Amino acid sequence: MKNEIQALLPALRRYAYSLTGSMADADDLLQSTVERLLSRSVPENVALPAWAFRVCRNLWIDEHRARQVREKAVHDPLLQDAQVTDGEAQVHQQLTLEKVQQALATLKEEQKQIVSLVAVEGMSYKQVSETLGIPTGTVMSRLARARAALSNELGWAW
Amino acid sequence: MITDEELSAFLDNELDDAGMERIRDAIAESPELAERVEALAMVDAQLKFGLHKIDERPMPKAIEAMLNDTADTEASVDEVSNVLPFRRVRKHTPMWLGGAIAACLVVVVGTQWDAGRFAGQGVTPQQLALTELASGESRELDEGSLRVNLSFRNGTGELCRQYSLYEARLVKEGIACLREDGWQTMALQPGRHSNALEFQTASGRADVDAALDEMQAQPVSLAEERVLIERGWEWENE
Repeated sequence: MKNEIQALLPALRRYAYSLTGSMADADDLLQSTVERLLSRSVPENVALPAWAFRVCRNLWIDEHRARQVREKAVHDPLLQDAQVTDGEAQVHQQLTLEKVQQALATLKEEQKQIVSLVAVEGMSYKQVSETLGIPTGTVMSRLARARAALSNELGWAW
Repeated sequence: MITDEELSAFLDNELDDAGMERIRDAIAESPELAERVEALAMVDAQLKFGLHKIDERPMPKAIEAMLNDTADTEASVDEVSNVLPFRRVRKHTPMWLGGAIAACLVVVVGTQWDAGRFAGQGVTPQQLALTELASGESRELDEGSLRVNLSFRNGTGELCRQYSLYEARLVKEGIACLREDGWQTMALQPGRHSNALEFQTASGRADVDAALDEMQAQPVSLAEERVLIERGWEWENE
């Protein structure tokens, strides 16, 4: 499990940063997340990455949010979410280079370009907009469509 | 109604402060929406994984041959597409590691498959496989399939390789290190049941992780490994 968590760290860290809005808080949240992940086993019908993001989110909700907004709050939030999972068991799907290539092949050229620049290279929307000479609104919409399409294709394969 | 567009921009921290807060509120309130955000976040990790795999694949021999000006007549090696070499850069021992070697890895010190070096007589098929295979490659042996996973140096600088042995439905994890007389099995884990989708069982991986940490494993890069294989793993005498 440790290898897989390690590989997920950059994505988890970015999510933590979006949630907390501060690098210091993000790293704290990330540390708590990893500690929690290592101290429990993944529920049976949840893919590890989905579980990792969920743990991060719930820790953030419980530790960093001022107000309690979750209905049907149970003492252990992780237990509650185990029940929220949809009925379909998620078979562990191995992510391969071929799968990624196939998924990318379903994108339009312009979507491929943008998702690569932002999601992989880490460019800002402004930078992409200037580089490609298109409005930031267009960057946003193409990127969102690309991510949605890829998510459809790849699911939680890891 | 929150759109994928906003969620996507949230992930990139591209909304203004109010926008970011609005999505945070929504995530806190709705597990379904949160799952949607997280599925989109996952895409980035999956893409990076895919691109990283391209870099890790060995270059086709034909290309290397052209650049090295050597005539390479050997048939191209079967490249296993689902290569998952261990990506481990251990700078220090993580705090959560206990330090006790995994109980399930039986240390078999002093066991050698056969005396004798490579390309010579008395070399077992297993030794040959360890000598010739690149990480990620497999070979069918009488007892099953052997797949080399990783080359590394241990704490004393010895070259070692971690491999999996697939015998029927059992997977055994092993570690062998290079000694003067050839590959010597350092540890071999009793067989665990594998399922067709996995190269290694989760518990097998955990034991291997523990053993590698115990040995202070420093991975050997694929480039260096290629050279080592070409040179037949000349035993490095101190």
